[in-house]
Amino acid sequence: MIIDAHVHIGATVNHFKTLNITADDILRQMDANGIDMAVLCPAGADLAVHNRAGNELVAGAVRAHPDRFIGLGTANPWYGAAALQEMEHAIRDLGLRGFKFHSLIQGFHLNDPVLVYPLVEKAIELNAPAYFHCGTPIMAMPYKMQDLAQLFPQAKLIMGHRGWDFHFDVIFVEENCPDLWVETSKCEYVNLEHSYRTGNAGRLLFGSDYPISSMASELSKVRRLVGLKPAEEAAILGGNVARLFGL
Amino acid sequence: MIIDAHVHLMEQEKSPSYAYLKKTGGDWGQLWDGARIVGLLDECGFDRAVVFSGTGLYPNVDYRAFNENTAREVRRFPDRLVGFGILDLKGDPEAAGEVPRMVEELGLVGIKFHNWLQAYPANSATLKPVYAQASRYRLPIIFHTGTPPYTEPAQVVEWADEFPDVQFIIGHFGKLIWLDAVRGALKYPNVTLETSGAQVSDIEIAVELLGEERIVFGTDLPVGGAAAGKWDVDKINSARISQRARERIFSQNILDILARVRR
Repeated sequence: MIIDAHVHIGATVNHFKTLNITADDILRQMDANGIDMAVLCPAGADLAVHNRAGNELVAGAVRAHPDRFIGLGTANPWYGAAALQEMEHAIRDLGLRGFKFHSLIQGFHLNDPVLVYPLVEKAIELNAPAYFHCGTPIMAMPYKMQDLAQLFPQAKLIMGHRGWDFHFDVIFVEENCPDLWVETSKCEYVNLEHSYRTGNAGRLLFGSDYPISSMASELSKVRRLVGLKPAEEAAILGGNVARLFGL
Repeated sequence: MIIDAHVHLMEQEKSPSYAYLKKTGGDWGQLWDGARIVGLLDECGFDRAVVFSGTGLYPNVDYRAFNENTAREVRRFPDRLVGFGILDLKGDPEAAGEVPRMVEELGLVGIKFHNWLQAYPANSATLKPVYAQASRYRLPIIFHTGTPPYTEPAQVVEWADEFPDVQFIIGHFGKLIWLDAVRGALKYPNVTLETSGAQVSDIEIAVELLGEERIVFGTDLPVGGAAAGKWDVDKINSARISQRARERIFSQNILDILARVRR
């Protein structure tokens, strides 16, 4: 089973243009690329400020297509106690399975003690995986992800985009944080190959970051890994994320 | 036809980046001469490539010798390789004087800067004499971009209006800062974006805003080897752009830039 671990639903802003992505758009892309399921998360303003609306949008898509979608909610930590309540609501009432946080769009440093520790503690309490966008300086760098992972070893944390362009750091972060999950979208092929070659096939999660990247090219990035064995391919493309979410 | 506008020769096995590469086990830790590069192009299904020094992109190197090497490798495969030179402005502030020799004697038709590795910002005034020389020959100049504080796209285009005969090629599309790469290309007609480092929707949006003629295909090979080169093609092929745009990105746009060079 192929599961895309990172897809945006709703109004995604890619600087010059708002990409309005519906559940049907996503399903069409999934079908065209042989993808069975996708992990959805809110995007754009839903991620930044309209968290409740974003979480409900995700939950609606999951309710309509429970066999195709897994939902992540979000909560901007600047809402304080309300953010923590929103996290509880997302899991307990909306049926979402985890969280997506984006320190750049939501305005915090990825390892900020005041803003982020409570989010991670709440995610642990809810036994929910937490995906953090990673790889944008200065607020979303891999060493911050490492700091968080080492502080909260019991949390199920996902480093987004394999740290994107911060490949120098990811080499060390992967070594230092054996329990950190690593999502593959956006990073260069050569850097993904390094993760694979150094024994990380068991924690890489194929993701497309659709609509920013394409499902086709992100799938091919994994499938082109030199020496990739069928069992490893199955793990990266779906088995690992199924294990993470207990599917 | 596919022409790769961003390929490095690796002239020494142990370059200054060797320590990192030893850790990653990457291909930069190997020698890549013209013959090996042509083999890689064959493997990727690429017709031609723009090549320039990789090992020489550091301060205090004998950049003239690296340029001579590039010229030599290109002469061995004139149908497959096009050569760009390098200049070490950190080690030699007078390096602009190399440009006429590079073009007239060595047959190199552009310049590559890697301001992060070469250790000065891409808007340094030391670049202006180079731009003045490059204008005489209407040279394209490709910059590594996307890694602040030395290689921001906005730094690269600082003097694009003052030197309209120079083609400023923003290598890696500006990576995370592609917004400013596109802004630069919108402001100045002599700014072109190179696709390695771009996300698929970034390319789609750039084609929509800039038209089909402002983007060239590039990979940064031999980094990542043939799988990386093929994946860069997959990326362009998966973009929702017209077939004509795809063809122009893969070959015609860089051919047009190279055809403008006055030798």
